[in-house]
Amino acid sequence: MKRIIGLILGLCIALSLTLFAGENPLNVFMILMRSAFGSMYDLGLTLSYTTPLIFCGLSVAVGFHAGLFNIGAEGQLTIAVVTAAAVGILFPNIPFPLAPMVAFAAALLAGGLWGWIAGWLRAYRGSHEVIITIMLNFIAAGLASWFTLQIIPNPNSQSPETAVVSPNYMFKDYDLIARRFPDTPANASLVFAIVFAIVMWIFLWKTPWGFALRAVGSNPEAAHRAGISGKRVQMLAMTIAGAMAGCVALSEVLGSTGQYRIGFSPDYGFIGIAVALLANNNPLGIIAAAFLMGALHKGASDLDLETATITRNFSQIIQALIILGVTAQGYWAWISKNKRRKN
Amino acid sequence: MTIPAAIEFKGVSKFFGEVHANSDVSFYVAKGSIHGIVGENGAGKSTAMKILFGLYQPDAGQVFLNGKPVAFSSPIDAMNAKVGMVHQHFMLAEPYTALDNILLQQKGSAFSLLPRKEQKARLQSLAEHYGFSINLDSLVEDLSVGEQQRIEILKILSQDSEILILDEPSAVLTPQEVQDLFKNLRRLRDEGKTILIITHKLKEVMSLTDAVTVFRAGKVVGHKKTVDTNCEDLAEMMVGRRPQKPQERSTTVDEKSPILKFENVSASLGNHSVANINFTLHRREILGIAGVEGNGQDIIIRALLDKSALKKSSFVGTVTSTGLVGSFPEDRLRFGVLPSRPIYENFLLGQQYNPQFRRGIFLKVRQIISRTQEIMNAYDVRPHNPLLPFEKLSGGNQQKLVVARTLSQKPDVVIAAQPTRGVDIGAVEFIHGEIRKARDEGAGILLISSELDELMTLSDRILVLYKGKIVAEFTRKEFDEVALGTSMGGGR
Repeated sequence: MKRIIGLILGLCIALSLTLFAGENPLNVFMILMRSAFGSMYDLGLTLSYTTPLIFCGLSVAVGFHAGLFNIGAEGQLTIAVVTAAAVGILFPNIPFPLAPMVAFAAALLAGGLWGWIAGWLRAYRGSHEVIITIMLNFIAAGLASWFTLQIIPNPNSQSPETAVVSPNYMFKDYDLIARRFPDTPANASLVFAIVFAIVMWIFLWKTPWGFALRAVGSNPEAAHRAGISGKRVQMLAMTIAGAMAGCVALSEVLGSTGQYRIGFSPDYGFIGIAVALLANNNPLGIIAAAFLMGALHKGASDLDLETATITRNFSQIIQALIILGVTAQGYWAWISKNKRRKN
Repeated sequence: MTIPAAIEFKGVSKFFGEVHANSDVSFYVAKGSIHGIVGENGAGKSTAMKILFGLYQPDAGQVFLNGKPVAFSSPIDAMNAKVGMVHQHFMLAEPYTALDNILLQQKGSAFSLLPRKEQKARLQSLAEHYGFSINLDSLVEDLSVGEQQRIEILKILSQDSEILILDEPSAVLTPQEVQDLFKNLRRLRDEGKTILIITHKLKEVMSLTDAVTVFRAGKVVGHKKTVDTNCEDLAEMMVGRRPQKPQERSTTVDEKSPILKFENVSASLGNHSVANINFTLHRREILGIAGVEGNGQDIIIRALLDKSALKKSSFVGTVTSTGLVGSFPEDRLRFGVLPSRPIYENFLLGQQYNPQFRRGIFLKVRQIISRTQEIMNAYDVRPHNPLLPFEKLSGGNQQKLVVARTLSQKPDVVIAAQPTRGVDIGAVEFIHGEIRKARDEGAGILLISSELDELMTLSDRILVLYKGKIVAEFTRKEFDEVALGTSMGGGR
């Protein structure tokens, strides 16, 4: 409840900032709403943003639960998406049900590996995961660009993108969600995202391994005394985090475009941090938070066209203020304390 | 009253939200006396002292110094009014010299304008005057705890403070250092200083103080001249009932069944080490390891529980143990628990792979909660709510839960490290009772403690650890406070 009030508060403050730009806040709000949910097409786009944000939110959250700050979701998803595209291009003859599974497994492995590197360095070399994951982001971007442009470029396009995977890698024909939202990238991977969120919740709260992971995040020394290997947990958490971010390949390559396009991600990995914070790292909350962030992202895209002074980057201001509103729980305590003092 | 009261509290109250840390506290302290403030943890004695020292402001009531009302808004005000405090955890910058540390606090006083040489000379003469032997040029980190404490006291004296507040001053000292401290404090009193000493060690109150004020649950429940009272009365006032007499044990040590053996163990950790540790623990035996902290206890604990934390290749010798090893960590918040997590998750910690709490790959969360509830009822951990975050429990209840978690698993070897640190009398009795029960049921207990009283009431044998070596062994018949204290301090 407090989170929802904080959210509304943050949104109101952000909207009232538009007064300075000479806009009517209510009008801006209506544009946001219309652009995010106005038609099946708009809703489809919103959902297509939601899906990778759920994956990235889960990636960041699992890191947080183990006491690690995974800023590397962006790099992990880049590597995974390129890998999935590469599998699809280099092995075009795998039959349908098997093909997407193979590509997905490859994406999970690649993302997981990218996360594991940071986890291993953290556990055995003591390097801080924030630094490592940031640097791995750059490495991933460089590797992905090189691979895209030199090894598997798209022969039919001038854009910096890979060739398109063969159709037996796509589950489009069986995709009920894509059918409901024609002409949008929305696809069945949304269902996978929601299922993964639920599985992640069960893993964290209902299994001994999830408990061990959270124990390390809460007090590594006590966890160590209780026979939990902090090193192994850190590596496991980062691997899971990388694999979760790698799931973006599902929505991007196998679900919609069938290729890796350089710069396709509007920083999903970083918005994922916001999603995780907003949801207090609760996997189920992440579904809602990702939907909200997705809606904001889509909603702001029409601000360029429909207002004179505000651009789409305004969504970042709203994001920031919402996060402040939700995470600054301290002032609730402060308000209630003051109230008591008056009584 | 002919002597004016140096300190007087009149109806002082302090609330933290719903908690009444102090309610209507009134007492006075005669000038030139040593005054004991006793009470269990959370009884409000520290709060009252922090009000006196300006760290807290009272919500109601008034504090008087020498008959004049005062209201300190910070410790600086208090220091200007000649009130000084030695905190339980020393406020010293370790890589600096003793002199630097003392001068650090002089800023702003006329005294600080003197050149360093003269300041040193003055401090030196002050130290000599009170019989403190300190080399002011040595680094604080090289000094013993007792010497560090003397620096803290000197810090206060150098500001001409008339009122000294000491918070649990003897907690970290060897028995010999405690005697030195008391001698110094008596001398200060004879010079007319007023000394307030917060403690829960009643024997010290009886031997040192002139008068004593007893706190219980935020209120003052008694005010006595020390000559008119005794340990039993004070304990009764503190707890609100008579402490139980510990009964002598009815079982005997199983000499024939050793369950834990250290043979020629040497190891090091950081910059200290242990050498040639040999002992055997039997079933139904409590083996005490006495010693001031930092003499190698942590290495012995790690040799048993966590060898990989020791310095690589420094470990020599063999440790053999039989059956399940359970432990109470020496620092429960650091090594034992997940403070922000609910109590039931803390109870689960260490048992998470136990088949009792698992169905296939899943945890039986409901079962864990109900088991935690059962244990909390059985060990009287209050409030009886397993969903509460662990950190919301009081110190005593936290420790009871840690003890319950270990003992409810029925371990064969129990490592009880500082099992009653920071715990009130009621919980101490309870925890001692549980340790005895575990012993009678066949466990062997390694009791690592720096509290002589605790060691002497529980142990069947005591080994004294000094600078990483076992320097003495006492059997129950030979227990003697003075001899134990001497060997803890390295004497023979």
